[in-house]
Amino acid sequence: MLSPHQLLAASHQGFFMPKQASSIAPHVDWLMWFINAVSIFFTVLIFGLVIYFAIRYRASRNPVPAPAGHNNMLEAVWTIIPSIIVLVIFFFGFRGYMEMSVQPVAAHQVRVIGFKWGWTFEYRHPVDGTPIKLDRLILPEGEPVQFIMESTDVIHSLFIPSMRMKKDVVPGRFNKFWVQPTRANEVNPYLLPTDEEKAAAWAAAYDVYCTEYCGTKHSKMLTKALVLPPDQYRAALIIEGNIFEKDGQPLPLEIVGETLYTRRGCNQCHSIDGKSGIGPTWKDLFGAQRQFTDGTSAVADENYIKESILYPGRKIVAPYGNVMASYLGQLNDREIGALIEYMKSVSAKHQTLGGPQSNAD
Amino acid sequence: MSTIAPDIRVPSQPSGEAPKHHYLNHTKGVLSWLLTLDHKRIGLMYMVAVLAAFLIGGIFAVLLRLELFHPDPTFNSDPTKAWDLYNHFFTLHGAVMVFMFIIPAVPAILGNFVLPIMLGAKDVAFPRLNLASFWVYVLGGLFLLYVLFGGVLYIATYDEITGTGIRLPGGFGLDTGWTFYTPYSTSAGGTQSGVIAATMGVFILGFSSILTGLNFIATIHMLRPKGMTWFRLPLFLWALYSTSLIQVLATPVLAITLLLLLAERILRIGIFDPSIGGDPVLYQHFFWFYSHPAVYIMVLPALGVISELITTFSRRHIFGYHFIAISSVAIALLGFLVWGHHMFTSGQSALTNAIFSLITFSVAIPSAVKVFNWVATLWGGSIHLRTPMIYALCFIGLFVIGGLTGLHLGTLSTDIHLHDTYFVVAHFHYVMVGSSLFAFLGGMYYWFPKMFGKMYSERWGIVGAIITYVGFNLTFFVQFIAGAQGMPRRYASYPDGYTIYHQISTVGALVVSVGLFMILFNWLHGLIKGKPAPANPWGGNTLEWQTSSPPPHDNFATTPEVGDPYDMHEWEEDKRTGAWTKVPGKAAPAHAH
Ligand code: HEC
Ligand SMILES: [Cu+2]
Repeated sequence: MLSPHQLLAASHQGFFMPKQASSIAPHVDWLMWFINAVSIFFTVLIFGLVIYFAIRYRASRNPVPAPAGHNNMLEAVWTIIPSIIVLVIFFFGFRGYMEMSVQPVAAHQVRVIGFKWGWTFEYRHPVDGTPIKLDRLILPEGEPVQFIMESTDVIHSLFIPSMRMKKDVVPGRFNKFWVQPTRANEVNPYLLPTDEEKAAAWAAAYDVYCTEYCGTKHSKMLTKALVLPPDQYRAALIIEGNIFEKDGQPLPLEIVGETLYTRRGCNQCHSIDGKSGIGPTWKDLFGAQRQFTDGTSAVADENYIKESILYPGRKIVAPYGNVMASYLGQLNDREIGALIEYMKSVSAKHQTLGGPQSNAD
Repeated sequence: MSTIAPDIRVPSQPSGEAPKHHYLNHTKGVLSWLLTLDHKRIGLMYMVAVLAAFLIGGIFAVLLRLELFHPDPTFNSDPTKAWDLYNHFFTLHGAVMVFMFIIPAVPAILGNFVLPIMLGAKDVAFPRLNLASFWVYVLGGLFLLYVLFGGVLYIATYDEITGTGIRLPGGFGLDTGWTFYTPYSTSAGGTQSGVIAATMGVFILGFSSILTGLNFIATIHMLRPKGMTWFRLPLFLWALYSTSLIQVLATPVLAITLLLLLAERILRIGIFDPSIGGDPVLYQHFFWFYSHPAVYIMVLPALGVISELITTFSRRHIFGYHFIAISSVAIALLGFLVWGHHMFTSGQSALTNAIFSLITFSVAIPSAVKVFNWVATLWGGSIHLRTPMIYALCFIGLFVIGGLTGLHLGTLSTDIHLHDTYFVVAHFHYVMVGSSLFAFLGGMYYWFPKMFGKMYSERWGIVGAIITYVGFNLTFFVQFIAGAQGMPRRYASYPDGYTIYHQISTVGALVVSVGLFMILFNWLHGLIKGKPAPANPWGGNTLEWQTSSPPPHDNFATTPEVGDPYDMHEWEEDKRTGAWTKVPGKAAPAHAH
């Protein structure tokens, strides 16, 4: 499966603002255009007057200036009219904002976890209620969704331009917002057979950006929001809910591990082709001798890998920095097992250590 | 005596006869400059230092626009290196431009040079403090640049094979943006982080502005000559006075923030860092409590300059003097109450957001009324389109656009969409660069003859202004659209859909660079080859025009006569030489209606 970071962001640009895809978008845009109109009016007025006066009253034409002016009426008018206009703007801005802030009582819930540099969106399985973690959003058309957001490292900000919604994702506190998507995407990737078609359908979904600066790959902290009709939304969650199976058949663990590798954002920092990134590559990692910043060393076996994922600060691989967040409580044992199998599958060291690739656990 | 002796109040220094003895040749030698207590020389030293900072900030602006010409990495084939470089570039650009250029530009260069002369004083109240503030500026500036450059150098020289690059001791660099938001700023890089050092640099720079501010306040209070009542103060001085108030009151908050950062770092007390129980949003409150008023430090002096230019070149008394004077102080004070509008999306309560939004709008009104006052001053004037006036008119345009787009951002529901996008980038560049820079350049041209006793080339002055103006709008106007379409700020790379906006913007930045170099060459040319300037080349009635160009060491040969600063009707132009002379007792023009 393609990672969303590899998908080109589709352009949902409309005229001046992105195409509307949420219930509040029309309110925001209406006010935006009202302010635009006010701005254009005053810009034209003032530019016009300045240019007209500069020509009409140029020194060669008007050598003697008019005496010092004073006009109470004029001054009152140009203070009061703008005051009224800004009060009107403030009022509608406030009203729109209250609409954004007060969420309907019954809403779907999505937990959002922002990290350097990716997103995890946690859903509940529509049937058995188990958690489902995705790296992209799936939203039901016409139904309110509440986002409960936290960060495992620095401040991020979740921004969906088409839905006119943005909120900072702050470590140490929960920030919330809600949206009601209004325009389903035309193509549902879950109904398509091939990976290419799926990828194209995802590329056509709405853009999601991080808008609070968060370091090296801030500009790659992108993902997608796919809006589907409610029944298709449920079906998609059920499909996503089971990464260990496909079409009812169990998948090999290293395939599951590969899915987790992209979906949980490990690929943001770890490559599998030997290139060193923010973190060490996974190529030939398993079974290799690891050198740590405190001078000690160890062989990368299952226990070491698990420790590195749950407590990354304990042993820091030289010459890297301690930037990886802990996945304690984020990845369960089964998932960590799958990731380990995936690491084994990309490590030549593991094969040379002998023994067939174990599918145990 | 008064009947026989030439009236020194009415300088008749004709064009072509520069005074033999003036502040530039008062004493000689490098030390006579470096250790001078003369506010005029200190102003010029500031000019050299601040323009050097502007050049550095500008080079990095061009570099980051070049990186953004295309969504793919430009300056390094390895994307993470290219992005890291970009992140250091924009931090360097922002920090240098804000703390080392815009904040000191008008007050420290023009203010230092002009304030005592306009006031009719010999110097500022504390000349030694003034010199100290200059050297503190240099120290802080070098410190900040060292830290920031260190990071760029390291990444640029980083070698894949050895796994290191050239690392200056302590030069860890910074990639946090000029806002230094925690916890990113305190966690990134661990011990290898430049944030404490950079904040220290900013604090030292802040100290320099506190000293200048104090000095200006004391000068305006204590050194006004007889007859210079508060409501005879030129509007530029009202603006500098208000600015100084902010500098003295707001900058200490920066110091407090620095101490808290240090305390957290060294003593591990949780203040901003959530992993030890702090609150990162608290940092934003601290930061903007200083930095929002700082925005007014950048823009108020600019408004003051524009009031001078508009009235002089319209040959008409400024419209609404009292309003403009008082509103400078009002804006300065209200400016302390709006910092929360930078945090509408941070999760602060809806009520807090509403209050901040409302107060923000209340600042819009006095700003708007100032613009109307300027336009009303033009109305019926006798307008001389000299270079400084061209800048003033361009300024009005940019300030109007910058101000009106502030409405989009002050409004709660629309700000949610626009916050942290290019719309914000465009807005504050219109206000901070468009307005402050154009006012600064206009002011430089206006007082250039007074500073150096030479004239610049009027034709190239106007051409340079227009090129810069066109380039500026090309660079930043499209950014409003990019931002409304959702383009986030501080992105080293971007989705393809935004390419066209970025390309137009980059081309605009190159045009601006051409314009700015033309301005620089015009000044240098004027300095070396310019025609001698008359004492009063514009017919202004503020006191600096009542002394020779350049002024003597003590500013005035005799105490100048103080009157209404904007009653210019007694000045008459000699069309041949371009010099204006005062004809005392000349009748005011009759009412036209
Ligand atoms: C923000 C970047 C980042 C992300 C995202 C990230 N890591 Fe890491 N990881 C690092 C860095 C840097 C190191 C080396 C320093 C250390 O040991 O903590 C590392 C080290 C490791 C190691 C030890 C590697 C070795 O060479 O010995 C493992 C295993 C690991 N990560 C697994 C993961 C898994 C699994 C994920 C996804 C669920 C993940 N990482 C996501 C940055 C990251
Ligand atoms: Cu982020």
